[in-house]
Amino acid sequence: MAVEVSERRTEDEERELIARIGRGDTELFYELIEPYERRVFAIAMAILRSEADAEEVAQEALLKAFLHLGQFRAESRFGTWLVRVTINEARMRRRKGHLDIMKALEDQRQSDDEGSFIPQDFADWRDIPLEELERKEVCELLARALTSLGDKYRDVFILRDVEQLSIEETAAALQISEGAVKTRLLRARLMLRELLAPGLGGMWSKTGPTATLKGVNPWH
Amino acid sequence: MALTNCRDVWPAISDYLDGELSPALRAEIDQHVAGCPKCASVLHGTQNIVRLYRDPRMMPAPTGIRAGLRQRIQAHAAPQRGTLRGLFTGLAVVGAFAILLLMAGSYSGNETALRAAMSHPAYSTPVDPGFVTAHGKLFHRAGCPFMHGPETLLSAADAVAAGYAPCVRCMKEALHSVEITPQGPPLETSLIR
Repeated sequence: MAVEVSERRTEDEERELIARIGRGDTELFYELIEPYERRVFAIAMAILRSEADAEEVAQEALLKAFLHLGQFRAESRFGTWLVRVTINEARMRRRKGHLDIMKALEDQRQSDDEGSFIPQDFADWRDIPLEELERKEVCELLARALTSLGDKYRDVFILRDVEQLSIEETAAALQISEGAVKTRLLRARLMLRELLAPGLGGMWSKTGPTATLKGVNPWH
Repeated sequence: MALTNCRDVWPAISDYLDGELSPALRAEIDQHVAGCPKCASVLHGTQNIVRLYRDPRMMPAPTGIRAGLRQRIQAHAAPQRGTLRGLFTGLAVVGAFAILLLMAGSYSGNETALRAAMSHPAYSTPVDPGFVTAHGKLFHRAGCPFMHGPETLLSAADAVAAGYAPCVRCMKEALHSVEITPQGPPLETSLIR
């Protein structure tokens, strides 16, 4: 995405755009955010898991970006700043509205020691073909697996793998060290693999205990 | 030389997939994985996971963000401009009122428009008490039981100048003076002890 943006618009052009918005040409704001809109929504969606909430939070984040554009410091990329604003906004919403059992599970996972994840399931991994993503239920399954991760692992995974930011950009957006990004990313990836593994009760296992996922088999 | 312990391989899986490992370590892992089904399962599975989640189909498409955003920005921009305009208008009104008040103060009490059209004006400026409490349209002595609500403490002269009428109960004297000399000039002496 970063490559896409820089292909279409250089950093200097972006800065100039921001300056013009600051001088009162507010209509240009929509041009400024156009390459980031989808990402803002995707991040909000991944954190909140509800389309309605995500849409509202995405709008809120973009509105905040508009209102506080004057506070944006040109030393970071606008996109990184916007991602940070979005994450904060989505986290605030998440804190407000999610005191359910998922949250309790997340907290439990959060307290786990970082990086000490040991794989348990070593069944022969048959690749889930990309074509499977055409199936809505498979996409939902992946989304559900992602949302079951603890916040700090999910946020890193979303930025790094779903949104494909670099490790440096992810660290900047979440305001954590690059080392922390790598550690959490490793854990997030291994946990997802474990959740979706075909062997011991993985989400896609036919015989697995995860009743809600019964009937979804990506290898068929 | 291949790594012998699987537990040395797992922590490096993520960096392996991101191409962040040194060629030497990478080669060691390749060698280990070739002979270890467990690590092969972990590596291939993780690789598959990353590939799946990176697929554009995993990214939800925004729906009505733009239209909603436009509305919100406009809604925000309008009251903001309004607030600024309102602020200036407010300042202007306060300023004009202050000027009026100053002008009113420079005239005698009789010429000040009364806040209560039906009240009798004070024909004199009470000097006892020197300070009164004004509320609504009337001014009172402190502790007058007929005064309710928020009060303003001001000098009797200012209260008269600002158009407050004397309370018919606690400020009788100010009105008596009217009765005594209906057409006469303010009888300040009647109120002076």
